[in-house]
Amino acid sequence: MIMNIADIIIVSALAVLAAAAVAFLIIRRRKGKCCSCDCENCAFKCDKRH
Amino acid sequence: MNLNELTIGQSAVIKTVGGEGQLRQHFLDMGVIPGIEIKLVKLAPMGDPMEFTLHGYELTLRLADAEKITVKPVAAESQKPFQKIKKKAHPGLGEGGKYHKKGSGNPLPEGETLTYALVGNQNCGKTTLFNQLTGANQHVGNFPGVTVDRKDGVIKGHKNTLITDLPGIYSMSPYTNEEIVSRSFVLDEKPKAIINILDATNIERNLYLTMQLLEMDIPMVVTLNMMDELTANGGSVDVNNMEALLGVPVIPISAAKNQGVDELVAHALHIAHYQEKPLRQDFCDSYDKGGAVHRCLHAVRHLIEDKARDAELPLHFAASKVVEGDKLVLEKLKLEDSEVHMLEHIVTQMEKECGLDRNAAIADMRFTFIRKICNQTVVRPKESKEHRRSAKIDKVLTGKFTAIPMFLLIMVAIFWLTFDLIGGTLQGLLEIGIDNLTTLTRHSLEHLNVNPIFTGLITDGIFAGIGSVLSFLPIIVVLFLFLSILEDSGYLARVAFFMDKLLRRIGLSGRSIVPMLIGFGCTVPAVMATRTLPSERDRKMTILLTPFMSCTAKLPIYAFFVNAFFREYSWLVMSGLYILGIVVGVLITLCMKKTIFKGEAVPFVMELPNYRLPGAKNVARLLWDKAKDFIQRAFTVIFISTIIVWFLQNFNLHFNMVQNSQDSILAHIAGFIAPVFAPLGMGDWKIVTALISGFMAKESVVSTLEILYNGGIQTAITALSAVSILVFSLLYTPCVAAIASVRRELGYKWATAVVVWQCVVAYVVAAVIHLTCMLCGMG
Repeated sequence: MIMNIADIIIVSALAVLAAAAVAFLIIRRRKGKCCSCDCENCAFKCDKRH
Repeated sequence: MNLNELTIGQSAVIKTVGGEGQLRQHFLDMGVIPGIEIKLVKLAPMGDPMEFTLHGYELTLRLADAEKITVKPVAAESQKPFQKIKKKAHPGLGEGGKYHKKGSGNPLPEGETLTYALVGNQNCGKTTLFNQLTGANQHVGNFPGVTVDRKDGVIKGHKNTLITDLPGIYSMSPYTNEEIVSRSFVLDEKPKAIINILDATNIERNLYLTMQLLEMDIPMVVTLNMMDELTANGGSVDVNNMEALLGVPVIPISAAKNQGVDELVAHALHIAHYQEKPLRQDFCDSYDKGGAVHRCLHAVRHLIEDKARDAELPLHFAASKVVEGDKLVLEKLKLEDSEVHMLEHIVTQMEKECGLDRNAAIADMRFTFIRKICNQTVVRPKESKEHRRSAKIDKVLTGKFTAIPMFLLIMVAIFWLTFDLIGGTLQGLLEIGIDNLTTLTRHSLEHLNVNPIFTGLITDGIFAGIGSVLSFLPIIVVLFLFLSILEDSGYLARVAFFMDKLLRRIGLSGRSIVPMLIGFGCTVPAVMATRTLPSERDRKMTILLTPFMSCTAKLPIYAFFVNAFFREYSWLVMSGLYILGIVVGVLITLCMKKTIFKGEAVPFVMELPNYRLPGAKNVARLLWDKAKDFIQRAFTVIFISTIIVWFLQNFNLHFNMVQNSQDSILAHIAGFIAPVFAPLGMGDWKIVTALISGFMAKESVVSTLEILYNGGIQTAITALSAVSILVFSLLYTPCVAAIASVRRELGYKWATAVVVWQCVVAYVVAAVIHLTCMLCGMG
């Protein structure tokens, strides 16, 4: 498969976005927003950290 | 006569309180003690439970529990005349620059973190105050027990402070899980000070907890919340006199209006830094009932003094708990046999002399002291306009013939507004926007000569996947808006009240309705909301029932199939799915009641709060949180999963691009499991893949289907298969976040059991429906 510049830019952008999404999830989990899930917004929050 | 024999509007004085164990203690802690006047306000629409007024607040009890309480009918007590308060000098406790008895004389070193426990009755505004003090955005509601776990925060502008918002409790007796959380925090983590928040409109009952907190021998500030409501109704409090009588600073505030909070912070900082402990911890009177309780408590204090010191328990607290027979405190004290015998003799003698059993005697001693304080310091308000308004609304919303129809009407209205009028319309607009954006992107990419594979990934994969999920944002926000209004207004507490009898038939109590309703929003908070249930049996049953309530994340799945196959019957199919979930849940719960969870639901003892207008800021904050979370999930979990699914679908095991997705990695993996689902008409590997992805997040099911079928699902499967998929999606395992919350509440075994159990139930129900439809010649 031959890739032109536009292809390379798009693949790179997707890779960066995917990496950012994974990093975001990891950081949020490490910070720990909620005791039982990574949803920081349940009506019944608690402060237990992971 | 017994309490359950009272007629509506009739008043009586309590003679004896029957029952046993923790429940009886809970009755006493709620102020149901001999000598108190109680009035029957109404019966729930189904005749049970009953609503009473005592100590100026509304309490609900079941007929069976009311039967254990004997009463003597009396004429209704007339409103006590307003007393004139004489102005007294301000004792100035907790303030610098004025002489008063200081703390230990050893102020804490500068810079040491001042830790606070924020303690108070349920629904007295603790979380509102916590938000004011810390600037946090914790959710508040108008239902007893919104806070189910502790939360920490730093007081604004004071870095070396840490305040912990604890669940609301009525006493330091360990009756429910949240009471245990609060009690353990104060006893074991030893905060530097306590901020005790009281509902000023209901001081009598709130002071019951205050007295037990004073016994803890920890610096404390008493704060009278909702003072604006009290004064607006003609009431007032002689704060100076109350401060002198309690021996701790008393600060009137309105947390909702942020009035008096600065003064509270100044006092809290002072008493914690200088460790100024309560000046009074002894509330018994040597003349009250011949002084029996007074002599008993003092004798017990002498008896256990050394043991309390060794166990690091505050002496006054330990003594009163020992007299009440608190097993946890008795275990900690490790009394010798001779001491236990001596203790029993002392308490028995007290019971004989005062004519009350030990628990009632201690509760009576506390309420006697409270009455003395209130008589000297509190000007009773007229019936508040909030209360009058609540009574009027309740005539309709909890009326005998109107409660259930109104509940059904409200629920139908909510679902109609959510899925059709408001949510549905907004969703349609958002879908148009997303479609236009997708088309624009596709044209731009084609114009830029981007490889068709990548164009497909972006438009048919990412845009279609995320877009299909994101379009449900309005529906989810609108549903949470209504759930939040129901909770904040105080209506949920009423629903629990009139649904109690119905839920008892399946072995649950009325309180279980709250987690069930929240479950229609999200299973995670629903599972956590079960912490307000006082019995382990009820909690487990309710937790196992909540995943059957269809959460909002499953909506995209329903809409996807309804649009593709049942467009003309969309309302019928959608409502049918919700009802099927409830019916299966109820049947399963009935089976559990007769097998693993035999027995009766816990007594229904609950306070009914006044109706309040939901705070716009609070509701807006909750909705913003929900929307933000949903968007974050769409652009993280869903985004990543669409890329992974696209990759697995377009490449084979040698990482070469495939022409036909049948040769892809995904087809190989899902192909192993697909035959298991063939009897349900779901033998296609693409459906199996979508269902597996739903374990991470239910929204992923639709995004995966969008990628795999590329808009052609109508031609790929039959309508009968679509029915099976819908039923299976409704009932199969909750997402990983919900399972994590089950694990946290009940442990790994139960969490694993829920995953397996839900899948088995979903499989069986889907198979039954599939076979029935086939036998009927459908499909």
